[in-house]
Amino acid sequence: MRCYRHCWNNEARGNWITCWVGEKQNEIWRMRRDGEVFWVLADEFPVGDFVDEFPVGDFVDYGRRKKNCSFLLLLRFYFFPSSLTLQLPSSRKSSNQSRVVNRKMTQSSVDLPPKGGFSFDLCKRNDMLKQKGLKAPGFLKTGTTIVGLIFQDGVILGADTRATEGPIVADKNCEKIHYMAPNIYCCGAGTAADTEAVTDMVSSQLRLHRFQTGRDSRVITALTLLKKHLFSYQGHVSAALVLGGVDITGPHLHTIYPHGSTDTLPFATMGSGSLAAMAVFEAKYKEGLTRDEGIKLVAEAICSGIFNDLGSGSNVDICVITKVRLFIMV
Amino acid sequence: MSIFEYNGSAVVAMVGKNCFAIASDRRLGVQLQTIATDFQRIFKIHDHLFIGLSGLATDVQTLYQRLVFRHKLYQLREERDMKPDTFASLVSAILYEKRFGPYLCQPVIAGLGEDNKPFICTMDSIGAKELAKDFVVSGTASESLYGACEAMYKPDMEAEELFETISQALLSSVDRDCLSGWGGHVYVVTPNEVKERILKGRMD
Repeated sequence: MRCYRHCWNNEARGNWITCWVGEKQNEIWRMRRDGEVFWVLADEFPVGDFVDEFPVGDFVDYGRRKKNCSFLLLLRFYFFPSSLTLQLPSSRKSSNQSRVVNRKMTQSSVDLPPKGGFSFDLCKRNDMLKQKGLKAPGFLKTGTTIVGLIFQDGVILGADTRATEGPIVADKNCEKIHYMAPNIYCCGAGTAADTEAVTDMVSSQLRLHRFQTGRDSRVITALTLLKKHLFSYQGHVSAALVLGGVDITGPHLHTIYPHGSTDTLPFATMGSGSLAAMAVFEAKYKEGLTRDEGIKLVAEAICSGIFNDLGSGSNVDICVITKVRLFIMV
Repeated sequence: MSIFEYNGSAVVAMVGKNCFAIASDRRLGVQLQTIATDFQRIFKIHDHLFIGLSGLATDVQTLYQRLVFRHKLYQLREERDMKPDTFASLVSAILYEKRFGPYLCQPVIAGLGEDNKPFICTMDSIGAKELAKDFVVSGTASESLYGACEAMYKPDMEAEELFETISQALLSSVDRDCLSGWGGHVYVVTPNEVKERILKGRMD
């Protein structure tokens, strides 16, 4: 029978929701991202099933687990690394009773949503158009100044809010500080679609991981997931990120470059305005800043980027992450 | 010449008081030659959700057909219409899937969400969403549309005034762009009705 399954990201964002079978037989529930619960034909699913991530709109058929299924899937992951929905290895062995749901596309020739990951079918046509002299379009970039710094109680992230399309300001107030986990946030510079997609994807992977482990996410986990994805696309997914958060091991701040290299730093800047902001940090940063001093310094660094760099402008967004509570100021 | 300038287009959407308006030009050209003067760029997804697509005309039509298909599946499964922000996420995902060989279109999505609150957003060709509270523009005439809308827009306009504003902004901007024009197609949507009007503009 057919069941519509999604993968859940986090409280309020993303296209993904999860569903899984409950403790009792016949108890299946699924929750969409705005909290609405759906009914699913529950009779045919056994207890303890765990489903994997599928993109919105996917059709799946319930089926029995084939022998060596996880091995086959691993093979597929290594040979076809373009799958965007990376499946965490632990999800394959979630429980002894877990059975892998087999995906089955309908046999018709109708265009059903494909499995996930990038699809390259328009590449040939676009190349042909390029050869005929029609230039490819520009993408929305986030010109940008993004910064992060570690202060005595945690991490402060800051970003400007201008989104550019060539020389034109496309969005005067866009959000560049993306949610990853309740204790981890990530600023993104580069191509806007790439930063949003990558942070949404890793955010949903972190959520699943939190369900599996029962613990808060660590910043290093987010870092590894992001760098693996970016490296596997060899820099074509053009996202430069400043990742910061506070976990059980303390406050952490990292930068991630589009090709997948990372740095761990006490203060960091990225984007076209990074030199302007770094100048402010190098002059005024010291260890053990208080919260107010830290906020003031971050605001000054972003303003320096806004005034001196043409690709950054509009307002300053600031995000303060501490061990106990999380404040977002816009 | 850019691929977006092959067919020429202009699409704009504006927010009013519990209503929204979405408008486009009507010209279809092949570089500098006009081949149609009644090309439809704004499509209805359901009564309170419209999508306008600018850019390469073939991708406009293909993408529209794909989106209508996905929405119909959604209606069958969920037994209700899609909300505008959900639809925007769907379009963004479909466009990002083709990140390295994109559809050469820029959509403008406009709809009435919960409590009849108007929702507008636009995206670049790979699905980077830009939500706005006032107006969104796209197409070859986008630079002059930005200017015209900034000047003419004011918040909380009623449906009639919104129609006048969006029409003036559209016609004055397409007059400054060779590749779009030949009149306008305007939809003004309130919670109770959808008014579709054709504007007569300069035919050059």
